[in-house]
Formats: sequence, C-alpha cells, structure tokens
Amino acid sequence: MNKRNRVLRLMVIFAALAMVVSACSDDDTGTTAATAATTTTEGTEPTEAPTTTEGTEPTEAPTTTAVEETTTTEALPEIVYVNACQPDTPYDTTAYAPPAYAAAGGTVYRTGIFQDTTTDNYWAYMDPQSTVWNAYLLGPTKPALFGTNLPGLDLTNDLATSDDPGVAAADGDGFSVTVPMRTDVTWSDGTPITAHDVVFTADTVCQFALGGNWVASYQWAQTDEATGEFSDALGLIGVTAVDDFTVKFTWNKDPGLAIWPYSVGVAPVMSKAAWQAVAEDAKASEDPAEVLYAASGAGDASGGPTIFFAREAGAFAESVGNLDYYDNGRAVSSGGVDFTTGPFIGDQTFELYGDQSAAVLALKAGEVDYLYNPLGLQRGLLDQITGDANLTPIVNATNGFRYLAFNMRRDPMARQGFRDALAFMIDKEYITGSVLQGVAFPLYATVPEGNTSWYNAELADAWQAEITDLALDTRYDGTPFMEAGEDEELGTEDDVAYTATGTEARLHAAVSALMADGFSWPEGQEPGFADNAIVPGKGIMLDGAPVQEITILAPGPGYDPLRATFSLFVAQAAKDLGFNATAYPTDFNVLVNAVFVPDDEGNLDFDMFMLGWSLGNPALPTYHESFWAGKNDTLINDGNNNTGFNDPEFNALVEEFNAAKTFEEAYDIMWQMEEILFTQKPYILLFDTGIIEAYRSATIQYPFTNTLSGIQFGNGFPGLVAAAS
Amino acid sequence: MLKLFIFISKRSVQMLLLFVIFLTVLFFLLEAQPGDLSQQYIGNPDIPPEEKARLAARLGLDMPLFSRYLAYMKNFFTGNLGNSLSQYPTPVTKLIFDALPRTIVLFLSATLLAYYLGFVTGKVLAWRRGKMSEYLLTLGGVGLYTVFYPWFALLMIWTFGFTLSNVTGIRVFPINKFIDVSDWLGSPFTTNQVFLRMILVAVLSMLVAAVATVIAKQRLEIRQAIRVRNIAFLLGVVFPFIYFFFSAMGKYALDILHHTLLPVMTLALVAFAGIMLLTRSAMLETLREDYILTARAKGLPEKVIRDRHAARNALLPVVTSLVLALAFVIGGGIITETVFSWPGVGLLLYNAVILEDIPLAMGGLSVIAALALIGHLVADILYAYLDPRIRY
Repeated sequence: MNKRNRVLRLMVIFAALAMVVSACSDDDTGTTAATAATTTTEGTEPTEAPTTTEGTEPTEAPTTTAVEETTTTEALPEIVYVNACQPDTPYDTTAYAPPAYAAAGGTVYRTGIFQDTTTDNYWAYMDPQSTVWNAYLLGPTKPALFGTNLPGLDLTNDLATSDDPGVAAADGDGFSVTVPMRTDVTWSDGTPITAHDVVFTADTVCQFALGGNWVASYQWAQTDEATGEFSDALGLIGVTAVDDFTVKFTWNKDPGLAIWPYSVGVAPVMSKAAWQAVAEDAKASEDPAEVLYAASGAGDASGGPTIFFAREAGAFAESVGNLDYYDNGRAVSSGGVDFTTGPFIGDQTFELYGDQSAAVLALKAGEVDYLYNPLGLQRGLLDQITGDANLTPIVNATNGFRYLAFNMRRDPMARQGFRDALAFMIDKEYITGSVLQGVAFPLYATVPEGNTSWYNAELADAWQAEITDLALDTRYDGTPFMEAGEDEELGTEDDVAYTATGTEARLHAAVSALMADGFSWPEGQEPGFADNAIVPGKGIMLDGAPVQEITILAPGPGYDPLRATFSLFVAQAAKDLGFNATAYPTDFNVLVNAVFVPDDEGNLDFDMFMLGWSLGNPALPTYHESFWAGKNDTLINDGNNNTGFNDPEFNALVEEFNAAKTFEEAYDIMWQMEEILFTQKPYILLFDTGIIEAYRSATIQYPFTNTLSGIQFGNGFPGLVAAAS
Repeated sequence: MLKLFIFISKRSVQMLLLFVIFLTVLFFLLEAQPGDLSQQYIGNPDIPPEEKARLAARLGLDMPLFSRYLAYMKNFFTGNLGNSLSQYPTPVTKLIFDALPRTIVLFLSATLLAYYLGFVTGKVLAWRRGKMSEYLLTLGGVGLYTVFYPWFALLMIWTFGFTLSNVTGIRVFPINKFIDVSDWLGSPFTTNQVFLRMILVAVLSMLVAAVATVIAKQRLEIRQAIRVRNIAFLLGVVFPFIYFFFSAMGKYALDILHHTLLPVMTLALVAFAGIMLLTRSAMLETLREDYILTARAKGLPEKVIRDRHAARNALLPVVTSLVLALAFVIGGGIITETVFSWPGVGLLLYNAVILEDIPLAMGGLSVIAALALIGHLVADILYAYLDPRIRY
C-alpha cells in the first residue's frame, strides 16, 4: 500500500467517525446550537428565566473556554428565580394595520453610518441587537414617561404631565408611585399613547423574560420558581393602569433615583396596538422572545420626532419626519440654550460607508450632511474638514475614561503603596501633552468634565494638584534635599536645602509610599535622581522577597495607539522604581478575555491592564456600583469589578447612592465614592480624548453643538436639525 | 468517458471527506478565539451582570464545546445553517443571500475583465518580447500588481470620484457605495431585486450566445462559425442593455452600473497584471515548441500563429487560475468592500469572525470552501477538454 492510499484511508476513517458521531448526537442539542435557542444541555435546569445565586458562588462562566467546565448540573444555582410577572391577560389578535407613511417633503437629512443597521425591530434592538447603529435609527422613535434634555442633561417630562417624577411611597407590601400622563400625546398612527401601552411594554418584558437593555429599563422582582418567595433584589411587582392616562408602578422595596425615575421612568414605551397581535402569537410559541425579536418592525408606531420607514440590509435605511409629533414646537431651555423641538425635516437617510476617508470625501462633496460615529472621526481627517468652508468641525468631551487597573488579589498590586507609587510616577501631563501631542487630556476623576451636572471641578482639580504640584522638602530617607551652593564668591559653597518639585518630588514620594508598605531595595540599588534624570532602582523586594515580573496588558496599536503608547510609559515608570515590568499591547478580544474571564482554576490571571469605559446614562451615573462594588466582583457574579476591589465603606456608599432620592444627596454620595477611589486606587485614571465630528453647515444647522459625547449621543438630533438658514 | 466518470466519482468522495475535515478545523479555529458574543454587555454598566450568562444561554454558548460541534455538523448536513448570533435571530442563509448578489456583480465583473485584459496583454507581451512596449507594460503591470491596494483604491476615489467631479462639474464616477440613495427613496424595487435581475439577464444572454456558438461550430464551416460566435457574443453583451432600457428597473440598474465602474476598474487594474505575467510566461514556453516553428515554416500569418497556435496552448494555466478565482468570487474582498462602501460577503464574514458569530462565519466560509472544491474539480475536467494530451 503506498503512502497516498494510507493517507486517504486515514481521511476516510476520520470523516466517517465525525459523521457517525454527528448523526448520533442528541436531537435537543442539535436544535439548540443551530437555532441558537434557549434550551440547555441534558440534565441541566432551564436557564431562560433570569437566574441569580445565593451567596458568592460564581454563576455560569460566560465564555467559550470556560463553558466546558461549568455547564454541568452542579454548577447551576440551587434556586432558580423567575420574573414576578402580573397575571397574564390575552391580547387582541387583530392584525395591526399601520397608516401608509411617506416622506413629508422638505429637507432631507442625509447622514452616513459606518456599520449597517441590523434590525427594524425595536424589541430586538434593545436586547440581542443593541448596537449603537440601530440606536441611531430606532432610538428616536419611542417615547418614555420622562426624558433627558441635552445639553443640560436635565430630566424633563415626555409622556408624564409634570417634570417632577415624585418619589415612591409605602403602599401595602411595597412602594409605589403614580404618574399622571399627558392626554395630548399620540402615536404616529394618530391613536393616543396611554397607560395601557406602558403596562403592555412592562408586561411583555416580564412575561417573555426579555434581556439586555430591557432588564435595565424594566427591572422586575424575582421569585423562587419553586416556592414563589421573592429574592432580595429590588424590582417591580406591579405596573398597572389606574385609568387610561394614569400609570402606577409598585416595587417590593423603596426605590432610589437609579430606579425611579432613571430606570423605568426613562424606559421606552411600545405601542400596544402595533404589537399585541405579535405578542399573543409569540406567547404560544416555544420561545416567545425569539418570535418577538424576529418580527418585522415595518410600520411600527412612533412616538418620537421620526418614524422608521425603510431599511435595506447593506444599502441604506430611512426615517421620515413625524410631523404629527406631539412635542413639535415645544420650547425647551437646557444647559443655557433655548430651542424649539421639531422635526424640521421631512426625511432622514442613513447611508452606509465603509471607510472614514471616503466618507469625509462624500461629506465634502455634499453627498451627506453628517457622519454618525460613536468614536468620532480620526484626528487626521480634521485638517480636511477645517479647510472646507461648507463644513463645521465639532470637538466635544466624551462620557468615558481610559484607565489602568490593578489585580488587587495579588501582590504587589494588592499593596496600597504600590498603587500610590505608580500614581506618582505616571506623568500623565507629559505623556498626553508631549508624547501624544495633545490629542488626549489627563483625568483625575471618573466623572467627565463634560458632564456639567455631576462634575466637581474643585475636587478634581485638588486631586490633580496633589500629584502635579507636589513639593517635598525631604527625601524618602528623611534627609532634606540639598544642592551645591551657587555662588562661590559669597562663600556659599556648602550644600543648600531646596524644595524638590516635578519628577524628583514624585519619585521620592513614590519611593516613600513603597517603603511604607514593605518594599525595599538591596543596598545601593534604590532609585535616585541625578542630573535631572531618574536613576532606576534595581531588584525591588517586598517583605524581603524579590518581586516577580509584573505585566501590563493594553490594547494593541492597531486598536488604540494611545493606550498602546501609554502602556510603555507605565511599564517604564514601574521599571524606574526597580520593578521588572513589561507592557504587552495585545489583541483587544484577548485582553478582554484575560481580564474578565476566570481561568480554569477560577482566578483572573492578570497583573495590570489598560482599558476604557463608556459610562452609560450621564443624567445619573450609576457605574460606580457596576465597576467597584464588592458584590459585582467578576469572580462572584461575573460582574464588571474585575480588580477585586472590596471596600466596606465604598460598598455602603453604593447602597446609599442607590437609595438616594434627590440629586443633591446622590451627588454628595457619589463624590465620597470618588474620593475613596482616588485614595485607594483600584484604577489609576489615565486620560480621555474628545470626540471629533463634522457636519455640513452649508446645508443644515443644529440649535447647539456643544454637548457631552457630541451630536451622535443625541442620535444625530433628528428632532432638532433644520435646513441651514 | 468511463474513466472520466470514475475519476470524477473518486474526486467527489475525496472532496466530501476534505470538506468534513475543513468544517471541523474551521469550527475549532473559530471557537479557539478568546471570548464570545455574550461579552457584548461587558461594556454597558447599566446592564446587570446576570445578563451575560442569560445571553450566552439564549445563543447556545453555554453548551459544552463538543456538543456545539456535533450539533453544528448535524445541522449543517441537514441543510440548517442556524441563526446568526450577532444579528439574532436572523437566519444565516438570509444574511448570506442578502449580501451575495452585490458581491457577485462587482467581483465577477472585475474578475472577468481582469482575466480578459490580462490574457490579451499577456499574449501581446510575449509576442513583442524585447521591445519597448514589453518593458513598459511589464513595469506598469508589476507596479500595479504590487501597489498597496487600500492606498490605490483611495487614490482612485479621490482622483476619479472627487477631483474629476470638482473639475468638470460632472459626476463622472460616484465616490463610493453601490447606489445613490436619493434616487432609491420610494423605489418599488429593492437593490437585491435589481442585482438579481441584472445577474439573471446577463447569464441568460451569455448562455444563449454560448449555445449559439456551439451549434454554429457543429453545423457551419469555421469562418461562418466564427462570425456567428462574434455576433452572438456581441448580442449577449448588448442585450442586457436593451432589456433594461425598456424595463421599469432600467433607471435603478443604470445607477448600480454607474457605481460599479470605479471599483471594477480599480480591481481589474490591480488584478490584470498577475494574469498578464502568467500568460506571458506560458506563451514564452509555448513559443519555443516545435509546432510553432512548423507553423512559421508553413508560412502561416503571424496573427494566426499567435492567437490560434500559441495563445490557445498557453491558455491552460490561465483557465485553471480563472476557474479557481471564480470559485472565490463570492468571498468578495474586505478591502474593496470597505473602501468602496460596498458591503458584501467579504465584510459580512469578516465581521462575523471578529464578532465571533460562529454560525454566520461557518456558513459563509463553508459555502466558499464548497465552491473552491468544486472549482478544482471543474479545472481538472477542463484540462481534459483544453489539452487533448491529458486523459484520465
């Protein structure tokens, strides 16, 4: 038998084996993977309903790699919680007949997008297809009881009669709030928007166990599937229509601002008339959520300034102006700007571009009026825009930050002295100003300066001064800073004392912090400062033992050159102190997986990493709980707190913040949390960049352009944009 | 003939086995990427942590790896490519077939044009060996063949799409995209309907021309057959234009055609040089053959020797290359699709891989693999047709 035949036989055996095994596989398993349904593997409990855990056992590991080890029965929580829904009532199954919408004529607002929209279904957009591109298209089409005005980020009434949401009061076994609704509000099909629409939306989220942003909007209480007992978590236990224009929300616990009004109060409301037939059909199916998400959103009723009109995958999407919009002509005053809401356009197109350079050429050529992009335009394109009289560039602060995080579960990152030392040594001003040529700016508080409602300039500036204006009279060994006398003729040849500032002061402060926390160097190997430069330390030890190599993971230069560059300077800062530190700019997915997904032993295997956060709703920054609360430790509940930071005082403040009922109260608590973060440093905040946008001022105008995260954050202002005067 | 049938049967079995191995390797390669789609909520602090696990369960990502593999294989061979995870619950087949028509129109046109240009210039190059035109064409061809494509494509857009329009005041070439959206608002047709009609009409026209040519070759003497062939193919090219002139889709087809010109030109300019050099080297080999010397000795005209004796024999590697290139046409091209804002199968698959949308990536790549395997088989069969010395 020749070699070729042997290889062929091997191939036959292999393939046959694969096919036989494949054919013998379990039917349920097959269906699940192929259709991405929600059933689980043999012997496991269904996991479609939301599940929580008791105590601190990890829930299901979320990744491919870890799935193999954790999908067995013993990994599942003992108690299965399900949404505590209201009694089901059948809906009218008469098919909805939308009116024939058409472009209203007048101004066409032509916009460019860089990734395709993927759905016309608002339900799906809020959960599995929650991309920012879908948000630009569908976001402006749904009303809420309350909204947030830009640029001031102040709460305003939308469907509610008043912009005062009130507070929940004790009501039987729970806490409730009753909201009177406006009677002059209508869907684009002309029917009134009522309390029944709100109830329908909330009930659908509950009964279909919708996830993603729906959970963030309508957070229902959970009950033990077996006993019916409520879980400890706060959630809705009732949403009822008192009458056609009054809706009542009831929770199992007293809700703070984060829940009322900033969760359910600003949640989108869907048209019952448009969706009830689909929902009723879905209820009868094996997977109601999938049926709901798969339904077409064409003809869906709008309660916003635009109506979704058409979408062709890969080509374009179109919205038309909702000229019967109930708030058309409403005078608004926000953030010092007075304006009137529209729509002032008849039509909006979303045209797909694959490349920013080509898209900017299209903008210059007048093919589009505005380019949507959550990351803004590349700085290199700013010159092209600046030189064109028909275009206006805009630069705004963003609602986010980029940071260096520590794995506080292992030394030396667990040591406060190490984190303090690194904070002193990382010269953010030099790196952002000189190395990065001013494209980024240093940060000292997590709240962005652009969030004018929540930013505390006094505190942030003071924290910055603690680092940048540092002045020391004594060295880390307690001796005064001395330098050679300057004037030999005056007989001042002896050394004179001086006050160290800048790099020298920061180095000594860093070394002091390290020494105070058990770090030491071999004799004569301490870091020093000579001839205006740092003399790096060598062989640093912790509690007498050598410190192992530490690594800094950062996104690669292809993904984010700023962080990749920054990581090299962070590594150098650690090296200057005598640590064996290495920066590893790496693939973004690899990085995220490394820092958020536990390894086979259930540990997070990293030392330090650099990433960035986008901060959600700027009207009420709730991210402190998500990023740093002990209960959200990644190893406990798969949360976003992967540093392992767990400070009792901070945790208590998180609960106080969640329970706060007024802005003032929440503001004070939030800055107490910020102070703890600045002091204990689970993160060292590094920098952020502004967002660069451009629009064709020769053809369109906006009432304001100075707004947090730019025009794209307001979904391109389809209700405000007008033809240039 | 029986031997050929046996050969095809053997190759088909081999191809099937290879395909199973390909699917297996592909599945585990894609799965080996770090993370999965359930991590999309990590970036949103407003979404509770439990949602990651719940999304994983919804997408079937909480199942053991091997179970997912088995399920995928079983479903694949029963014709079910599943639902996309990144565009859940849209079926994979719908996404692929949505992107396919525009990919075929762009890349098929560009491939055929590039091969035609490459073959014609290649044979001329070989024939004019040592002359200035050979040096210039070779130099230009190599330059285009090695150009940094993203830069070249942007340069073409800037020159022909932007600057030319600014200078002349006429929009000679669009900047990018495959339609002018403002012309399509309120259109009774979708772009895919028009694309599909364009493909259908073009294919039918060419089929009719090919059938006419074959019949003419069998029934007419050679000169008349050649004349029929030329007329048939001319009509095959002209007929789609006549059809769309009288069709309600005409305006829309013209818009697509207008947008196709620049990317096709760019692709063909870059791709033709490779074919040209391939043809040139094959021709140079052929020109050394004894039968070329014999043809010259017989006093045949130079054009006849070049086109009918040398070029036809030099065609073999070019045709092989063409068949394989056609098999990969549906894969599109990420750079072209990105720079020309022409979202097709290439970008769809790229995003699927990046987003770890395993069903979509598997679905698309397996279709391409299947076509590539079939392409190899077709090339083998064509060998026998083109070169009488080859027999199976």
